[in-house]
Amino acid sequence: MSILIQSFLNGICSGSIYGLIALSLSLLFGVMKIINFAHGAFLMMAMYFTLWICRYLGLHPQLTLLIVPPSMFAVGYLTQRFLIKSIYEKETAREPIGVLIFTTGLWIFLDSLFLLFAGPDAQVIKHGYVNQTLVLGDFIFSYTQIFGLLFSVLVGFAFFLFLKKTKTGRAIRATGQDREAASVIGVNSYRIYDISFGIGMAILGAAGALLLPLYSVYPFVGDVFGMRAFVIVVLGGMGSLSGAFWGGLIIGLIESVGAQFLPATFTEALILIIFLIILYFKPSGLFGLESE
Amino acid sequence: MGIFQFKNVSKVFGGLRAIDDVSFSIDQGEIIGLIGPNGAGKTTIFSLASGFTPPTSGKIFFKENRIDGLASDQICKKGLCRTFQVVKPFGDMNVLDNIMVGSLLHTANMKKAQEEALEILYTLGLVGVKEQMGKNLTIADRKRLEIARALATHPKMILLDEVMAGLTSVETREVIEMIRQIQKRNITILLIEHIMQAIMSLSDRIIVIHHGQKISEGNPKAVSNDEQVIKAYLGEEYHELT
Amino acid sequence: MSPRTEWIRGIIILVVLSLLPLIFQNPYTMSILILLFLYAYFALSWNILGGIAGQLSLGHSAYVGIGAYTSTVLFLQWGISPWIGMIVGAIFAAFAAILIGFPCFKLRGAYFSLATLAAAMILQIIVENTNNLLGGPRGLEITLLKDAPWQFQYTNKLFYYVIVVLLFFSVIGVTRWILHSRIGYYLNAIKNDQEAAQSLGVNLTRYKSIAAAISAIFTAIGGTFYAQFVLYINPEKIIGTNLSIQLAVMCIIGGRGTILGPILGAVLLVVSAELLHLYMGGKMIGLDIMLYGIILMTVIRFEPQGIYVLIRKFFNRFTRSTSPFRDGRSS
Repeated sequence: MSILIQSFLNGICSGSIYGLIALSLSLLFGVMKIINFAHGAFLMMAMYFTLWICRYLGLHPQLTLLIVPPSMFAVGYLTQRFLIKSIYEKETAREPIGVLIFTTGLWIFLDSLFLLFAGPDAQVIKHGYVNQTLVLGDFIFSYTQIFGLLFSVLVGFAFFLFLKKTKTGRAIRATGQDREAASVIGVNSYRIYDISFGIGMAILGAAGALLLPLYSVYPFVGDVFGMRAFVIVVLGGMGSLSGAFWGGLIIGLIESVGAQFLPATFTEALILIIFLIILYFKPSGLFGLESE
Repeated sequence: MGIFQFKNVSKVFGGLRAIDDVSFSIDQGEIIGLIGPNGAGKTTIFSLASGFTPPTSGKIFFKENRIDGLASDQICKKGLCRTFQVVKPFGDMNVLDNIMVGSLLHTANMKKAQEEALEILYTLGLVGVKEQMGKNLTIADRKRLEIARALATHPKMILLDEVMAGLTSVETREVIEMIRQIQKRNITILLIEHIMQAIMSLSDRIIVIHHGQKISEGNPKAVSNDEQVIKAYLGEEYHELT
Repeated sequence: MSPRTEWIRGIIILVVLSLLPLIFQNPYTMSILILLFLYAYFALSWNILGGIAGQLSLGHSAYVGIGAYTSTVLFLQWGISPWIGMIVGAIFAAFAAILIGFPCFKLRGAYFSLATLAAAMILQIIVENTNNLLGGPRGLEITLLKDAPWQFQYTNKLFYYVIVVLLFFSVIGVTRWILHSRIGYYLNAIKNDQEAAQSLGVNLTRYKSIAAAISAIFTAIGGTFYAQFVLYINPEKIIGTNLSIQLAVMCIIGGRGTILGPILGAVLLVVSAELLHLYMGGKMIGLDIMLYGIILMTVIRFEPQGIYVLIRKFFNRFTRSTSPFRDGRSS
C-alpha cells in the first residue's frame, strides 16, 4: 500500500513539471493558435543548457533557474521574431498550417543538431544535491523532486498573476481571445506574439532546469516529453492554461502509478491510447470550455 | 403542408436560449425574408435548417421528411442548400472548379458536371472570372460564386445568408435580379438580409425574429406595420422602411 | 495538354527509364536509383492523403510497417510468398487507415497530425513488445533465397528496379485519376474548406476515408517492397516517427497536391542525403536529418506550397499560364 502511495506522490511531483511543459505549449496555442511541434526540442535544449551550466560553470543546479529561463526567453523571442513571424503573416487560414510545418522542421533540425554536437549518449548532472533525500515517515523523496513540485507551482501561480494583473498579461489574454479586437484597442499583436513566445520558452526553460536533475538528457529526450505535453494539452483542453496543469498531474499519476502494474513501455502506450480516446470523444478536453 | 417547416424548434447554447420555440412553414416557390436585429438568431436558424447544429428540441421538416439530426451533406443531397454569411470560396480552386464541386453532387460524369457548371456560370455572370482562383475574387464575385455553387447542387430550396451585405447599390440590384431568376426555376428561397428595400421588395412573406423568438409573420406591408415589430426591431431603422 | 502529347511524353519517359540501368550498372548506384524511386513512390502515396486531401498525416510509417511486417511474418511463419503478403498487407493497411482515420477525421489540422503520430507510436510500442512473432525491437531478418522471383527475391538488382518503376507509375496513374475525378474535386474542396464542402453535399468522412485507404494501400505495398529489397526490418527504422516525418517532408517541400512536387522533393532529399553520406561518411550521424530540417524550414519560409510551385511561378513570369492549380491539367 505504501508503495502505491509513494508512487502516487511521485506522480504528483513529476506531473507538476509536466504541467509546466504543457502550460507553455498551451500558451502558444491559446495566444497564437500555433501548434509548436518543436516544443520537445526546445525542452531538450533547455536541459542541455542546464547541464552545461552545471558542468562547466560549476553552478548549483538550483541556481541554473536564474540563467536558463531568461536565455530560453531570448531563444523564443528571437525565433518568433525572425523565423516564425514572417510565416505567420502569410497565413490566411484560421489555423496556421505553415507554422506547424515550420516547427516540424525546427524540431528535427534541433534534434540532429544536438545529436551532432552533444553526442548520442544520455548524460546526467553530477552534483551532491541531486542525490539528497528527504524522509517523511514511510516515504522517501529526493530534494529535487520536492523542489520541482514547489517551484513549478510557484511558476504556474506567478504566471497566472502575471496574466491577470499586469498590462502585458492582459494584452496577451486579449490577443488570444480576439486578435482583431485587441488591435483595435491598440495592442500590437506581433509584439505580443514575440513576448508570448519568449515567456512560453522561459517557462519551458524552468521546466527543463527542474527536470534535468531527475532525468538524463540526450538529443531525443524532447520527443518523449514533447508528445506527453501534447497529450496533456489535449487532455486539459487546447489553450486552457489551468487545464494544462491538471492534465499534467493526471499524466504524471498515470505514469508513476501505472508503472506499478505495467511495464514502462505499456504505460507509454496507455497514455497515447487515452490521448486518442479523448481526441475522439471530447476534443475540447476534459477541462476545456464547450465552444460553439 | 409546405415544403419546409420548423415545428417548435429550440436551440440552447450553454444555458442560453438562442432559438426559443420557433415555428413556421414555407410553401413551394415562395421567397421568405428572415429579419431581426443583430444576434436575434437568424444565422442559428440557418445552421439548424442546414444541419450544422442539431436543435435542442422540436422538429424540422423538408419535403415532409424530418431532417433535424441529419448532417449537412445529407440535407444538401435532399435538395436543401445553404450559403454562408462569411463567404467560403475554395480559395485554391478556380471559379469553374468551385462550381463543379456543386454540380458533381448529382453526376460523377466530369464532362456533364462541367457543362452544367458553365451554364450556371453564364447565368450568374461569372464568365469573366471563370479561370480565377477563389481567393482572388472581389467580394461581389465571391457572393455570386457562393450562390452559383449552391445552385449547382440542384436544390429545391436555397438558404441565402446576407448575400447582399457589403455590395454597392448597382451590385445589389444585380443580386436582386439574380434571386428573381432563381425563383423562376421554381426554387424556394429563404433569405436573411439587412438591406430593407431589398427584402421588402423581394419577399412574398417576412418572418421576424427577436431574442430567438418569432414575433411576427406576414406580408411585407403587414409586418412593417406590426406594432411589436416596430417596437422591438424597426425602431432604430424605421426611417429606412418608410 | 492533349492526350496525344501526353502519351508521347509518357513513352519518352519510359524509354529513358529503361535505359537508366545501363548507365548505372554498378550495384551501389543501382541501389540509390531504386531508393530514389521508392521514396518518390512513398511521397506520392503520402500525397494522396496529405497533399490532395490536405490531411497532414504524421503516422504514415504505421502503414509502411504494416506492409513490411505482414508480408515478412507470413513468409517467415508459414512460407507464404511475399507477393501474396503484399496484397494482404495492403488490405490490412486500408483497414488500419480507416480505423485510425475514423476517430481522427473529425479533427482538424494539427489534431489530425497529432493523432496519427500517436497511432504510429502505439503500433511501434506494440511491435517492440511482441518478441516471438514480430521479433521485438531487434526486428526480423528475411531468409536469403537468392534467385527466387516468386518469393520476391533476386540477386540482380534490376529485378527490384523494374518493380519499383512499375509501382511508381501505378501511383502516378492513380493520382492522375483521382485528380480528374469527383473524388479529387471533393478532396480538394475538403482541403480548402470543410464546412463549405459539406454544405455542398460532400460526405467528409467517406471521402477522407477513401483518400486514407488508397494512400495506406500504396504505402503498405512500398513497405513490403522495402522489406524484400533490404531483407531486414526493425520497428525503429520502419515504424519510427522519423520515417513518418521523412515521407511528409518530401512531399511538403516538393509541393503538396501536385504530381511532380513529391517526386521533386524525394529526389532532392535522397540525393542530398546520399551526397552527405558520400562526402562525410558515417562520421556525422543525423546530418541528413538536419539537412531535411533546414530545407523544410527554408522552403516553408519562402514558398509554403513547395518548390514545384516556386518553379512554376518562375516560369509563369515568361509564359503567362492560366492556372497554377494543378499540374497537367488545363480546363
